Amino acid sequence: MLKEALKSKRCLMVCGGGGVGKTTIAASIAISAAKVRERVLVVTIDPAKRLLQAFGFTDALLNEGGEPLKLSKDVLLALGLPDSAQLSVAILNPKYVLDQIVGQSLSAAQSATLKNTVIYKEMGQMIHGLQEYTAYEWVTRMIANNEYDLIVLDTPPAFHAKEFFNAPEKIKNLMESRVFQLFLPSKGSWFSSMLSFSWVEKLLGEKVYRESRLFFETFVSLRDRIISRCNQLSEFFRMQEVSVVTVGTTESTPLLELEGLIRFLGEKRIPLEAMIINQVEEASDFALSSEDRVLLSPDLIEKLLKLKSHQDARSDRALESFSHIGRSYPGQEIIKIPMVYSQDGFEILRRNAITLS
Amino acid sequence: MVVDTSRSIISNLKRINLISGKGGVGRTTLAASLARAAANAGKKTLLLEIEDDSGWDSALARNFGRKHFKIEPDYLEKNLYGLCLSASVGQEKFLNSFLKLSSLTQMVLGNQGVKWFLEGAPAFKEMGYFYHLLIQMRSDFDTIILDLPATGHFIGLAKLPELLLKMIPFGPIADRLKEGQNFLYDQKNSATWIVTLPQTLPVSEAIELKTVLAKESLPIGGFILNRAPFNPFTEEEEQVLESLSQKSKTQKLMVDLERIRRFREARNRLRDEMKNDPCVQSLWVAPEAFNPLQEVHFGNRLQKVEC
Repeated sequence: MLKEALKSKRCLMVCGGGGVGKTTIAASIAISAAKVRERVLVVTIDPAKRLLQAFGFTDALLNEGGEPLKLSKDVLLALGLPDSAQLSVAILNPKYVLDQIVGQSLSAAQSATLKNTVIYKEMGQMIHGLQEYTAYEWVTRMIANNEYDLIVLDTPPAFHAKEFFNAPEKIKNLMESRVFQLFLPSKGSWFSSMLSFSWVEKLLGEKVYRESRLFFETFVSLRDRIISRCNQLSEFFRMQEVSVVTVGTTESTPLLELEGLIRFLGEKRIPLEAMIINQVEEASDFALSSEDRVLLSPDLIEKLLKLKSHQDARSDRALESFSHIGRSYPGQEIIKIPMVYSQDGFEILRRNAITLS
Repeated sequence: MVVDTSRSIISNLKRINLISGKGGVGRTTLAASLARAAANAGKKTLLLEIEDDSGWDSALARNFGRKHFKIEPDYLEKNLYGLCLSASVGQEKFLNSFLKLSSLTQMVLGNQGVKWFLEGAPAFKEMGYFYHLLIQMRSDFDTIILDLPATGHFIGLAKLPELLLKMIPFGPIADRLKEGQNFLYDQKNSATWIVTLPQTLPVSEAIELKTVLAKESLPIGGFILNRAPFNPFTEEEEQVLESLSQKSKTQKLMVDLERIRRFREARNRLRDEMKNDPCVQSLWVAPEAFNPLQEVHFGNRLQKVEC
């Protein structure tokens, strides 16, 4: 039960495909949690900074290092929380976390050399899974530091939501791959290393090859640390104090993606706390008052009724799709979040949080 | 505002069309529909997607009753072919062109070290996609439509040539990257289309994406505002309803009026963006609640919004 998880867990991971309102749900869950829990932190690595904007922070306040920002009393009240609530929000900068790891693990000279290579500078963009890996690093460190009772993690947007769970393994495979050996003093047979050596050098050119060697030679000292972390992290979502929540909508493509994600979690034996179905359209209870009938032209009334039937059809489809989900996952907690149309961002969060409480 | 329905988006397509946008905006369906419409208009059309290693069925291929596309152009229906861009195929073809002898390629690829290198080394996967795409761009197809993965990855692919050229400025890889750039950066032959939804955040993201693409000098065909709500009202009627909604208790019907209002806001923002930034060439609106794949006159259902 999500309600129980909000009271007892240390970390809640919110995952799902693109465009389903994951960030809004993560924020709503955090608000809901802050009603029953002290020291709640919601964190995102979405570079679009939407989470901070949702909580009313302006760009000027965004700090590079991703230090958590505490919500002010005014904002807490606007979100329907008591002003004594403790809710913070952070935006993670993967590059910054990586720099920290490098700084902690290498000598000053070594880390300067590494940071100067082009490959290192562009690494975040080039290695799939690295962003996710740094998110894990950061979250586990925050849990260990015990500064927060609950951390709600808005997982990064990805091609497939499941990439987030595969990230530690991907990074580990990369670290263990022999690509390092291509650039390091050879231990393998002379022939095979000569073969790969010369081709790689020819392919990349001498200068790039030299730079790559420099990168790999320095980075290799980090490798064991990262591999052992990856081993721990691949168990992270199975830990007692961690819960996974999926977010989807009733639209057909997000629904297919959600089904795939849930199947994947089952295969990996990752326990699922709750499924959240977001943006479920509701039927209208529209009726024209006698006053309206006098005020509006017959033509306009007819159009309004047409619009109503249109909206009802949409909501019927959404509800049918929602109950289909319910039948597909018996015994699973499934939470329906109604579509909220409002121009007030706080109102959406406030209403979602009430639904979730 | 003048809506001109006589002009179809199909006649505005370039030879190479990259369909981009965030997850959930309906990008894949639009890509499939554009491809089918182009093929119906008599163009020999190639519809492309980028492989993913999830093992899940391809959402794009599903539209044509297939689980996946193949790695060579595969006949789907009259004038229309599908293909899945694959990193390893691209790498192999590249090595082939570079080593000239396929037996030599096999030997090099058979070498474990090289295999690990190509799979593991950063950006080489994208390089594989890029080369596989390059081969298609060199082909004799009249129209090429690529359904790009969700935004994040696309920025990676769009930036790839520049990123790699920074690291590998000379040699065979650099030559291919430059050749690919020449195709993609050519205004006359290539365009990126940004699909988005009539909501505040997706529109902001579409504008952000446009800024990134413009910075990379990639030509932008236009915005496609998808799922425009059903709207039977004239602008005056909308105003009457607006004032009514403020005192009315009929809150829930106003949901659809709110959707209409949002759509108008989104359309106006994108139109302003187009006015202020000459690199955006057009803006199109696609109505919701129609199945574009089954629409014979799909191209006409997309309305062009004039400044």
